Amino acid sequence: MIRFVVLRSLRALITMLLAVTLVFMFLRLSGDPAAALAPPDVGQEVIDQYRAKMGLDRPLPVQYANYVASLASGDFGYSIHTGRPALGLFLERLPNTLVLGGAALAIALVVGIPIGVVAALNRDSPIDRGVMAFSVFAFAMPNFFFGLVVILIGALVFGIFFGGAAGPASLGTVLAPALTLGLASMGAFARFARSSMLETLNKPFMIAAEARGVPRGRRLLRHAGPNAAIPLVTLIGLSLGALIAGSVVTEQVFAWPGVGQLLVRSVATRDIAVVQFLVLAVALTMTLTNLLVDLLYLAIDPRIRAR
Amino acid sequence: MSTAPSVLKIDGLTVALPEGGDRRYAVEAVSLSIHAGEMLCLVGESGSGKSVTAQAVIGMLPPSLRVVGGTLRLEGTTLPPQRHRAFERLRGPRIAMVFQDAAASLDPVQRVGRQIEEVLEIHGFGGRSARRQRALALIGAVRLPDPERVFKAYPHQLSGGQCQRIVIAIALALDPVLLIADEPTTALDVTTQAEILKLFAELQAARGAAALFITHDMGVVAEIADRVAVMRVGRIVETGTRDEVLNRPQHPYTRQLLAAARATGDRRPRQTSQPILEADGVTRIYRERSGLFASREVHAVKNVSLRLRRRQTLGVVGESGSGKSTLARCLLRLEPIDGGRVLFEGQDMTHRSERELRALRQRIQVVLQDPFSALDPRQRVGDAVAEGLIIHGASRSAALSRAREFLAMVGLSEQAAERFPHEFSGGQRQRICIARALVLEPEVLIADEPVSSLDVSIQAQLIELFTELQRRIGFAMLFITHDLRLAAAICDEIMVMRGGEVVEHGPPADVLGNPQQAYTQQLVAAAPGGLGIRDAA
Amino acid sequence: MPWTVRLALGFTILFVLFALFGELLTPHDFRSASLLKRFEAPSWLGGDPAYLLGTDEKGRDLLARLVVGARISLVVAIIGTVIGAVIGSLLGLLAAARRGFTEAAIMAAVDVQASLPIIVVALFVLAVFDNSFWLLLLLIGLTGWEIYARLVRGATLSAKEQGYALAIRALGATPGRLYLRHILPNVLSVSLVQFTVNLPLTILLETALSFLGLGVQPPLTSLGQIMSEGRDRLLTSWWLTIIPGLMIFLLAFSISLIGDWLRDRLDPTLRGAR
Repeated sequence: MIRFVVLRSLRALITMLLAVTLVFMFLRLSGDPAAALAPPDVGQEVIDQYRAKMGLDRPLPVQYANYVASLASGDFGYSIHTGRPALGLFLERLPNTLVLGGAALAIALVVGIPIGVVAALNRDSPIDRGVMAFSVFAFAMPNFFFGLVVILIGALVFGIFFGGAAGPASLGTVLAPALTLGLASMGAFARFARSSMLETLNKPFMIAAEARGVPRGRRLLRHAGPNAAIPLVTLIGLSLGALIAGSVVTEQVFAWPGVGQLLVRSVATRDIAVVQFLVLAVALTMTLTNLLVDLLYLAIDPRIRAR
Repeated sequence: MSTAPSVLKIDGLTVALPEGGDRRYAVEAVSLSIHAGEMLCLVGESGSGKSVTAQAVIGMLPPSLRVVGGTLRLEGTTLPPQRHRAFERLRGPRIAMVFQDAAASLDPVQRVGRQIEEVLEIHGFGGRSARRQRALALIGAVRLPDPERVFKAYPHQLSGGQCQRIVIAIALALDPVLLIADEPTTALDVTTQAEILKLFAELQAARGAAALFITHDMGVVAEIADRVAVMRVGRIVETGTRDEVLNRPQHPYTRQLLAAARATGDRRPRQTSQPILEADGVTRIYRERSGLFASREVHAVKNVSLRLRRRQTLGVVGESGSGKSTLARCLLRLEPIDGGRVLFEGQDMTHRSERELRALRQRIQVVLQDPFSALDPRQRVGDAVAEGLIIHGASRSAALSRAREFLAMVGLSEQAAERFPHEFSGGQRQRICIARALVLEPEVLIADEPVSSLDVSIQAQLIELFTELQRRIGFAMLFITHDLRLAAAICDEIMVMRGGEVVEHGPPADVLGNPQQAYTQQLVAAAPGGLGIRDAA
Repeated sequence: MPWTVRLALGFTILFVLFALFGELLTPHDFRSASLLKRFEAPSWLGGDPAYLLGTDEKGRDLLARLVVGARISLVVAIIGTVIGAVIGSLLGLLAAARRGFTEAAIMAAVDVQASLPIIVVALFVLAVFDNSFWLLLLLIGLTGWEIYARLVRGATLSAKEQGYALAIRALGATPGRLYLRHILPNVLSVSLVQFTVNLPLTILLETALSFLGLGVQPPLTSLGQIMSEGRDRLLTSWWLTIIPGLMIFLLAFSISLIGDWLRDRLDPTLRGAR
């Protein structure tokens, strides 16, 4: 088991290193990284200083080492347009994104998992077919389209404009974007919960429990539930990617001042220092989450724990 | 005993299959009764309707199967309709069931002790501490050591045999009047199987429960049955006491089953001839990672030497995990060898490259255990059989016509060549695999458990085919099996393997009649029905 | 075939026909602007009868633009999906066939991709390099390659352990014959099923990038870009966003339905697979 933890952590570390390497390679290919990362509106001598500091006159491996070292020391570069450090810009917007993502995840979990379980318990009934159709709908629905439809309906039917969340995020303003962002995950959770539950229901131990006279309610709650829930843990990792990707678009549609919007703006204005930092932040978040999910799996499944 | 009231009485039970099946009824007009303390064995091959009968008794027929006639009575009272809630009060306290795959029939994320307690709890047995005491007592009753420790174990921490003991403990928890066991030992090793059978029979007798024991194995019947009912395609063809059915069978089908179970080793060793395939101290080691940096070496095959002579059959007998399949792969050079030598016609093949081996491969062929995975599902049967010839340089048309000849030789029709593997039954597929191997006219055939996944009557036909083809084509055969009876029936020589090593080696009569090693003695004794040598006479 | 799948198939065929021959429905060119005809409502909502679906902010015929947008979106999605399927499947097969270092390297790349949502990668690359149609195609082609690689590797590893692989090696077949003639056809159904899952995803990725103004660039257009242009007029000229949005959604929905049906037909055991 210790072996598994160590190896898995090592793998996460390698993944992260490879991501950093990839970003470095692209930065090098993009032209002059010193000009991209140095504070804007500074003279040529400062850029030259930066170039020397980054060692751009040195061989590539040295440059790479310097890049990694500066990342490790917390120097992630400066935005061309505002002159502020990338990290600061990110931290400023992070709370908004966390609120949006958290709300979306909550909606997706609270709705998605129960309807998936209900579908499994009523297999091949109209309820089941309805839930399955919904999950395909949620999967295929582009979030920018859904968001615009929500805005349109809000404006035309309820007279509320969702499209510009000015001021701090509140429960009221977060609902529409969170629903938009959470829709795809909701469908995925429903589908996953359904298949996990169905698989468990057909296991021999469920039949054996029935043969021992265990009533249906108890069979579902005590035996099917815990067994079906274990694979759901992996969903956390899977849905995180979907939420990050979705927030890029959703924040844009609802003018939500979060990290996703920052990313899109920085790409549009070629603010490379900010973009590279955000890419690394996403990679780190995802890598750590996937690692945690695997370790969590280890902690809750006695079969894997024994290895 | 016949004067005692019946615990279970089935009268004319008929269960309909869904429309469009290969027959109308899964079970047709089945009648039987079991008294307290009596063990009735229901014998039949897969699909004979024996499991459906058991499901009906416990009220768990799948909704697609309907009871269309007959009555089921438990201690004189008619049982509720299928899947009725009233069954919940019967399952556990009155009727209990033991399934084939014990490990799978326990909840993998709950400690086994909790699972014993659960059945007590739902049927209102005692308080918390009384239930715990009872659970520990039951673990002791099924003779598991250290009940406290077992109580806290998860199913995956126990062996298959130990899991089956737990399942039996759960079944016995509330002293039911009727015990149903559906092939409870089929998934186990021979030695474990014998222990579990003995345990089950003893506990059943001690508690005076009636038992319905479902099996496909006449050997098991000889071991434990009081009475026997033989089922075939949904009908009971013969019932009687164990003595009657085993020694004076009336129905031809019963005789066929018995013949398959009783085949004995009466073959005389043939004249010695030149060895064609030899192994000299062959060793194969698997490395299992245990710690972070430590690894443990497991000898899958350890220092095995053997000599297969032309036109002879050498049997390799062992339980699962004894290394016999790994040995086969080593001899075929499909698996690296970590020590020793493999010789073909006296030439060392151990270090031949894959390229050099290719030409030789047509002279050593293989037939594998599972005929369902042994054929490429997307390749027509004719092409599958012809492929070896094409690889070794034949033209496609010549290879295909040769393939048709061999398909006919193994008893398949002309049209078989045009069809895909999934259109054939298990037995037919194994015939295709045999044709694929023999079309190359190999000098050595390695058969790795070629019949063990098939029904008994099909097994007999295939064994006949093997012996006949061997006589006609004249290959030497290495026959790998876990079944001592079978090995004794067809082999000139037998090797017994355990833990990767050869523990006994000699002609069948010596190995079976006069086993030298403790392990072989155990195997011989454990084989249900005692190899037909000491069965219910 | 259930009616839902028939309907989905019908819509998909209609969409393809529209993308191929839709120009026959309108006399206008998709680029020709007319300042006098800006924000014309669809003819059936009382707009100019010459414009069946109305016009955009430059007075361009929406129908003509949708035809071109549908064509570009479809081409990008199909080519992108094929690129991902081929690269991913071959890498997966290679990893399982070669094992050792090759496998470790491929699986490390898979890990990296799995920790970066494709839209983030695409945005990064588009920030660093100049946008071009070919670069976009390549980026979209990367969608889900790691999933093919994982699935095909797993399927190949298990196929290698199947009796038929052993028996065919025992016949004396070369590795090339074994992998290309026997194992590849058997694991291909895994890729085919994933293809139908991935196709809607590539459609959504391309339209999302174009919607953000970072995908297909003018003078070319795509359904996402049309939506993006009409977005500011959502409340007054809703058809500029809702019609292309519905087209994207219905196409992705239809293909998903067909894909689900195919998946159940081809391999019921695959349903739990990741």
